[in-house]
Amino acid sequence: MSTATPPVDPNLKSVSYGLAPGAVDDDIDVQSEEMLVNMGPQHPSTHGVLRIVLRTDGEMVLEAVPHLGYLHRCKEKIAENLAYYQYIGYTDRLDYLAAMNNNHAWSMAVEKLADIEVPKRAEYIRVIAAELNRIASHLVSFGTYGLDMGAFTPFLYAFREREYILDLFEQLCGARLTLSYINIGGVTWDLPPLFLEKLGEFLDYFEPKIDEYNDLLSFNHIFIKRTSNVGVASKELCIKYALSGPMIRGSGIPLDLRRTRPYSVYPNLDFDICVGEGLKGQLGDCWDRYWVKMQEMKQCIRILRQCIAQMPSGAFRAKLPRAMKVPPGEVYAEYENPRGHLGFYIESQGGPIPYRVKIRGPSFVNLAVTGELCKNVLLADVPAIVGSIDIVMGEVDR
Amino acid sequence: MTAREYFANIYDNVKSIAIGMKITIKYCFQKTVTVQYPEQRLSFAPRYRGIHEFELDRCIACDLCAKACPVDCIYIDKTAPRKIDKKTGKVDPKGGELVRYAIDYSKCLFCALCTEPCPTECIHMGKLHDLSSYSREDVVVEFTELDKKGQRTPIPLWMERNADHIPWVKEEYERVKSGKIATTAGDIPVVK
Repeated sequence: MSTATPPVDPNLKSVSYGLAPGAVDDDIDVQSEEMLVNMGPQHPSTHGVLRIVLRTDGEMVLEAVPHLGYLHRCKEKIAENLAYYQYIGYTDRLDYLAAMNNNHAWSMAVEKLADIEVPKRAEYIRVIAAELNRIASHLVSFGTYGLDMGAFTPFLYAFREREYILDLFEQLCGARLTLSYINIGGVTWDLPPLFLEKLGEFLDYFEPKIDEYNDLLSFNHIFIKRTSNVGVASKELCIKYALSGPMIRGSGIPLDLRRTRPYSVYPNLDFDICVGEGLKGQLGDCWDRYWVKMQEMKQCIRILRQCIAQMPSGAFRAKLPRAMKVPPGEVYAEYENPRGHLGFYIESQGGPIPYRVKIRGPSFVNLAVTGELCKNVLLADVPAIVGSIDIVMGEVDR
Repeated sequence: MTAREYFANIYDNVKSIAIGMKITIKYCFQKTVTVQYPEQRLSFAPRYRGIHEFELDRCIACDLCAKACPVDCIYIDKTAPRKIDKKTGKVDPKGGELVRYAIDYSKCLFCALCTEPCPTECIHMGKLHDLSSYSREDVVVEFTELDKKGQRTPIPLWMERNADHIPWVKEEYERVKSGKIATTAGDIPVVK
């Protein structure tokens, strides 16, 4: 044989792993030192079944492309076959760390569509439930972020306090994770006896713990070295990618729907919007995003204390017919989830079931910025960046 | 990096580790928050939503629970609708027969939507939470079959195995076996 060309595996070239055109060198195995590395879907620091394809050069990550869809469960399609009140159980499983917030958002969307007035007491109970769940969600975020950075102890402490909140939820509605508590027209059950006293006890117990977490992890020198000046998201980048929640507040933009487009009883409540200040490095780095969440837990405590003081008496659920008829029309309701803006778009053609439901998930939108943040960083910084985005894959894939 | 920065870095690291150790050592001398599960257990809240308890003698087979279920996991077969005898509060035996009442626990969401519309409150959420089995068929619980044995709720595998040597399991086992209901009246708030 006189031909000198070496045999090339045709399959090798055609696999681009979703990278940009030209990113994969045709003779990748021969000439280049760049390597494609699959991170996930079973990687412990990807918080679920996220797969990130990394183009690496030694320790440097040149490009990162997140791949989704490993947890897709057709949530939007399911909604087209269920009555409005039946879909509550499915919204629990969107962002399973913040089930109350999802219930609340869905209920708000349906109430807006059907023009239902919610009793005042129900609104306060809802805010209590939602803010408690926000604390629980931020605790998981804080604990697992420590875990990603190699600190195991804060994780256990975070889950100890979270357990307290889950016990409160169990007394409130009988479930611990998939709560299905906030319902259309109010809440499913009234507060159990002595719940507000127990909640006050918890807040007194929990408030000093946040300072403990800060001593343990936030101001730990090793942790700061790992997270500050890593994955810096500028204000322009945040707006360009439509980020929300702690991601955009970490970059110094005070965007919080509870204040900018207030819903429920948030106008009556006094709280601060926490923004990143670049305390330990550049503005908008991983540490800033983390710090926003730690500060928000304190604001949640403030909100909860005010709710306990202002709790009115009265009905906990509006009187609705069982087979609720919803007028035709369309509605979009926005909600401030622990992770950002959660939106439910419902189109109704009348009757008991929606015609189309679209979910705007905060994790999904926030995850899109991964590729931008993971450019030219070290391989060990990728878990730090992905962890600080704080995604829940149940909501990304839906 | 100057020598000054180098040593300042070491000092900062050691200092932050010392602060962390102070907190963790403090917890060494405090009471543990975990429980040794099979021997000890935490109590359930009154509203706990576990595996259903079904009182067949009060069911009028109206299908309302099956219609309310978001995942269609309740299967009801009947010859005709049944009626409640107002004197005893039980089902009139002259009416139709409830041939099958089964719940598929591989689908169930434990959302308690089935308990809300029930006119006779014959189905409610129990206190058992763990129904593991070796086959898919076992996950479908036939409540009509259980009723013939005098039970309101299925006996999980773990309960059968540990009833001999763990006191609280024995207690629960005997309760389930005798058909007693875990939730007392008033525990679960009624939505009207």
